Amino acid sequence: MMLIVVLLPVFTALLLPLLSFRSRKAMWIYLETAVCANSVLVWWMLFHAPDKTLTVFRFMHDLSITLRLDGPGAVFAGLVAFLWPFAELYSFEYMERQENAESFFLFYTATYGVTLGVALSENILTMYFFFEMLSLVTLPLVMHTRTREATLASRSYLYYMLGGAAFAFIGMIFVLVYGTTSSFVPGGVLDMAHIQEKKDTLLLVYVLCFGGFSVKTAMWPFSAWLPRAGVAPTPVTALLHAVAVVNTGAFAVMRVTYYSFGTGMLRGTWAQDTVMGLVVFTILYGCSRALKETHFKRRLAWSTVSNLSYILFGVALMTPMGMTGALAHLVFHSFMKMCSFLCAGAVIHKTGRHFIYELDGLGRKMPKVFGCFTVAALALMGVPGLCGFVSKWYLARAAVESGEPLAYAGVGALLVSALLTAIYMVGIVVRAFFPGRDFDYRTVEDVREPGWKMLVPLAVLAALTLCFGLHSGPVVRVLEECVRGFRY
Amino acid sequence: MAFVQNFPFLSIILSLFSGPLCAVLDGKWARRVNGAVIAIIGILSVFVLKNVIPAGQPYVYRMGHFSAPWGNEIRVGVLEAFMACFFCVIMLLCMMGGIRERETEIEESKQNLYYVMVNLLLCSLLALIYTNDLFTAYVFVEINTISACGLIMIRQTGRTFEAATRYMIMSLLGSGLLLLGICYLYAVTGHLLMSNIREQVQLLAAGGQHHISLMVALGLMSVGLAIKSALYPFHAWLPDAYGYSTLSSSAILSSLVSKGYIFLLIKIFCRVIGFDVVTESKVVNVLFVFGIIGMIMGSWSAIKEKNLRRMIAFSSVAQIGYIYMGLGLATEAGIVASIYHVLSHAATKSLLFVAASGLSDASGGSDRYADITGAGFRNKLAGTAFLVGSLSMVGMPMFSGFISKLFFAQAAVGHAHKMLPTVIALAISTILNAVYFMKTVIRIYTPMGAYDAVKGDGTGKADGIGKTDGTGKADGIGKTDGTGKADGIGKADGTGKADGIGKRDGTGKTDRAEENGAGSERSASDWQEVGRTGRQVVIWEQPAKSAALICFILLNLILGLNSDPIMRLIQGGIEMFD
Repeated sequence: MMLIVVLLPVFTALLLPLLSFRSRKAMWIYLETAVCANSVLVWWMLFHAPDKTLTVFRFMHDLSITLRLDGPGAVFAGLVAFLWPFAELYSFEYMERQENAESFFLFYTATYGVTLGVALSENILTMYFFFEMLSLVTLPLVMHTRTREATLASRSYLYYMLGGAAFAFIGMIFVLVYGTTSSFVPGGVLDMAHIQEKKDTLLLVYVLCFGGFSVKTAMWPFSAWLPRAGVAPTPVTALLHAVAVVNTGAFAVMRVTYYSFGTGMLRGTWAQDTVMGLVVFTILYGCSRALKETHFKRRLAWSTVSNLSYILFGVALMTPMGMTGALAHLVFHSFMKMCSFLCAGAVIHKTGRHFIYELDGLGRKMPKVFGCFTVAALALMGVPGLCGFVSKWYLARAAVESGEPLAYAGVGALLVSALLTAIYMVGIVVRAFFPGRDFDYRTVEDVREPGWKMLVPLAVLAALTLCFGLHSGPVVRVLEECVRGFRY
Repeated sequence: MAFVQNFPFLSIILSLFSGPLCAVLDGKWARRVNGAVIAIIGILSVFVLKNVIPAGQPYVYRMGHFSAPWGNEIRVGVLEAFMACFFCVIMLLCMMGGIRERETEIEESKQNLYYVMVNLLLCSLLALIYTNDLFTAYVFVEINTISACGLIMIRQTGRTFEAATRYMIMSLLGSGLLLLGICYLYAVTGHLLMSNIREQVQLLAAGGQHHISLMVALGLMSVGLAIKSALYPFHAWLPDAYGYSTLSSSAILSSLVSKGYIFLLIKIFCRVIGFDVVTESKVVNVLFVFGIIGMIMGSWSAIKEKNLRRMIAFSSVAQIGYIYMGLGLATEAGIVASIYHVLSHAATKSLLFVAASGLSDASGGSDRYADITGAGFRNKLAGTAFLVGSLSMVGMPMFSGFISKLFFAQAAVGHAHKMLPTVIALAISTILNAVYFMKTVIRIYTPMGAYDAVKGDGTGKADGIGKTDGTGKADGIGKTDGTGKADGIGKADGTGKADGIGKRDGTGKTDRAEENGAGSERSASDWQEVGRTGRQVVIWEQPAKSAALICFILLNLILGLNSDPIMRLIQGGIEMFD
């Protein structure tokens, strides 16, 4: 069952060139059916999942590719499974006029399976395996436009990704050697008797490993790739560089911290201070870069940098509360950020405008798109009643309860970043709706709303942002249970 | 004594005598004889392996039944038989991959000489693997050097003369040091057979006698063999030798010749000096440090290199650094990792060389980095193979490189002082590998026009058309006509190309090019140039090379996915060394 979920998208994708569809419509129907079916399977699995571990392949006697569904994995898999069909639908319209859509959809759909693989991995080797695969499979998507800029961006993308994986590899080796098992067990697997005299080395390795995995979440100083990767088509930026890839990084860090190294060993050490310092700095750094940026998608990308560090901040608190907050932000941020990216994509698709100063007055012509964008922007700021507020609230509470001095600084950073977010996001909204009295509306005369394939995902995401904000109780309860180690 | 036990000796003799036989045959027949000999020896080695594994212990084969000190011995264990078999497979594939290059690059009258050299090389490799006599090892090291030199020089261009001279000087220096080391050892112990030396050395070490002489001997032999296998500061001969010789030579040199020396060094460590003595000495630390420096510096030079084959050659420097780093750890796990890397590097590096030549086939025979743009689309199999090789080098799970990286790291983690340097060097070198290999992969999957699209203006347009490759051509021009922008050319994309392949013929394209308004004369003349620099290569154009590539890919996957049995073989083999 779990294997099917991972392999179905991959095979769907691989069949694509073999089937060679006459019309694009047939291809779209084929892809959307496969993706939807897979999502249904995932959700079915979440509710009826057998508590089984499935060993797919053995590299060596004790190293294997093994899948299992547990709490955080279920959250991540469910999130991805929910968002993917919408993103796929959206990209059909976005890629309408683009060439070589086939190769685009091939890799786009394959990424779905690989991301689920990360979510379902049972041990650190499996996660590393899918983590590397994800870098490879998304590379052609970044390269997609095949311009010089895209080539350069994909180069730096790959260097960052593989470099990160190389350092994550060190962490993996230590877990393999010093751990009692390579599986993910809540509370960590390190063999305490073994490591007493090597604790400092191990902490250093943890920091390296944290840095390695968080390259994918674009933590400072590894954040430069994310804005550059914005040259990819918007569905890629929206789904991969706001949800799948970057969340994979955060998810991996979470796994390593809570399930491999164990918070018991890490809490209160210099390693925790180091990573938390980096994370808090990234929150502010991302916001300030977003403020300076005039390119629409790049500004959103910098905002992603800062928001993903919220998640990492929750992880770095190393308390169950912190992890709940982190998971909550992982879910909610995906909705908000994907919604805003999709809006940006709709604008680019309909008008070809890439810069924020070109957006003047578009709100009047594309009220639905910019309506959704406004909801997302407010949610990102953390306005109460929208879901961004909920997760920030949990993060801040967890930080205060943990009582670490740096955590207080983190709360301060959250507040400052909320203010900066307000400036850079609302600035866009205001420009779009209120371009000023002397604005010449003739320049936006022929702008139209996009078609239903774009609007439906937008509307659903915006509505969910609102729903979760108003009624976050059940979701957060589920997350808390996941963190407490509830299994199927 | 079972008949099978004669096979190692027979293989050595067979390859030795097929050398002179090839000298009297013409090129084509020499090739066939050579291929058959390699295949037969490979099969014989499989039989030997099957015979040795159940026995569980090595056997000593005394040639002519003379005992020491007059006789000469062969000692066959699991690891020796396995290495012999593996080397034969790799050599056969390398020879298959380079058939066409040999025919075009080597003079007609000298074709058969090439196979003489290859047979002698195989003979010396087998002897290095099997022999139990240190002086015999030295003799075959020299034979190895001479035949390798012939392999470099047989493609007669100025570059290869220079390369061969350099190779000769460095190699002879290495052999000289090795010989000195052997002399010291002989003077101290009075033996030349490995097992006898070992007993004496144990006695001496236990009594603390001749400590300095032993260390000097060990140091001389290590450095000698390190020079011959191109450990970092002694690698100056390597890029030229690998970069300019004919294809099968570079593949064999990089994957087998240096590995033969490394295997000899491992044998000296484990069987001649004794592992505990080696562990105590400082010599391993020196190897460790230079191994790590080599890992970094080799990759660094590869990044700066603009020629594809030289880049792959520099990468060899880095990979040999890995192997010496593993030896320098001086633990059994380290040695196992090194041997595994010998296998994985042999499989990957020759794959990369053959794939690179496939890519340059599709780019008008040019090795220059700039010319191979988009070659992955033109020669699909070579592109895939290069991708596999690169991923393996970068250490992607599923491929052989990952497993050896894993072994190295696991071996290092147990170590007290060398742990952090090793793992960090591994990480850094992975990144550096990624930089140059993935840069190349991205380059071969980038359409040609993309790099010129930025030029933008009228003249840029004509250039752009000229440089757009064979397949994307028609699309690109179509667009240029339509929009009048140079950007259009840049957007001639992968699938568009793939569609275009085979549907439009050459003349049709040229017509279109001439229709183009912007300087039709110029674009037409550029066009002919394009005809030379880029063309489609289909799989069945060179069946031998394609088959070799496919076998290499499979070999890589086997090493990457099914490492457990091989691992057990290696461990069993090392235990048999004692």
